[in-house]
Amino acid sequence: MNLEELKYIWQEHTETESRTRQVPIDDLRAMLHIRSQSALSKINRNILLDMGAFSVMMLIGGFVLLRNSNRTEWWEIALTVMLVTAAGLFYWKKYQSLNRASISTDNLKDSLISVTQTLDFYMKVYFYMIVLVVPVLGSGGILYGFYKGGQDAGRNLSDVPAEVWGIVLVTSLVYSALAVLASRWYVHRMFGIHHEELKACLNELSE
Amino acid sequence: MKQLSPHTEQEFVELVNDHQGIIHKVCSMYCDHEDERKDLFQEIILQLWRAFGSYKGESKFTTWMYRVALNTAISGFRKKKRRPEYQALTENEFGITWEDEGLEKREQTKFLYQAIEQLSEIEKAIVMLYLEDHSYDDIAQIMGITRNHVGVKLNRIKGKLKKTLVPHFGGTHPSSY
Repeated sequence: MNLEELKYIWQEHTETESRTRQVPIDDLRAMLHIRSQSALSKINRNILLDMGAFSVMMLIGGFVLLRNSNRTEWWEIALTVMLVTAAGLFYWKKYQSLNRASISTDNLKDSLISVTQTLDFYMKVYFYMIVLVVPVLGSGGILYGFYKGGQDAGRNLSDVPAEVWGIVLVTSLVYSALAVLASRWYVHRMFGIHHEELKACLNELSE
Repeated sequence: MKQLSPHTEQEFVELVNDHQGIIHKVCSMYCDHEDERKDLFQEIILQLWRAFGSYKGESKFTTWMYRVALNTAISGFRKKKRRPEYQALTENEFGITWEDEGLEKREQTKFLYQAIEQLSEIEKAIVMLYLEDHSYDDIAQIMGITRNHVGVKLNRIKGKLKKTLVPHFGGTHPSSY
């Protein structure tokens, strides 16, 4: 027995199987409009959801600022615009880079490089967003709330009690510590295993 | 996703319909279960459609299909069910249809699939292209490696297949490969 005989067995069987499994042309046409189940498409959908949630929050914040426009200072508006612009650019760049990696007609090695790099980048961004950006924005939000609450009485940030600063700092540090463990587990579960498998395939091709 | 015209959609569907055997072969190679197989089949069709606008005829359509299908199966698709490493597949789990096959052929096909199952994802791609009569140059182009590297990999794959298949098919002398 040699490989030519294997070729014959393989080709004969797969031809028979393909005939049996032939999908009708109408079903093929319907498949063009389904949702992709690839890892990168799921990440893309998550990004769109994040963008949607962020937009809703910004709209609510903008509405509150405008409603209280007689008490709104220029720096609050400037900060809001900066946050919205930065977030918009950030999400747009993520979405674009994922789209570029999604459809690959490259050879397998280049495709693997592109997908692993994209997953790597996304996992790092996701991790740092949860561990750093969330507590910073959360703390900023709490302190801003204190500031706005005391604005009518002429108080500002320097009048916020030291205990409040302390509680905000400690809560942020505890959150970050827990977030490191939780997000590592979550990110690994969602994409880490797939990422490791892809890297193994890439190493094999690079041997 | 860029909207392609209905005319292009019709052209695409007809081309894929003529060559859907390629997709079935890739699904057979990479899926253990029927549900996974259906999911992968749909995903490959979708990725082919999304990439169709960028196909300019620089390679044969079938070569391009293999490239996209293998990219999808290996890098784009996450298997839901994981098989324990040493658990052999049963006949039904191959998802193979046994019509028109005599007993000896069925056995040979089963052993061949069992042998292929022991290979890595990359080795499965290379051996599938080889069994489909693709030249070393074609395989190198699809995989993104050199022709020499294809030769080295195929020798290793032959060694692995020999270990599993020789007891069933006979031909104990190494030179039978």
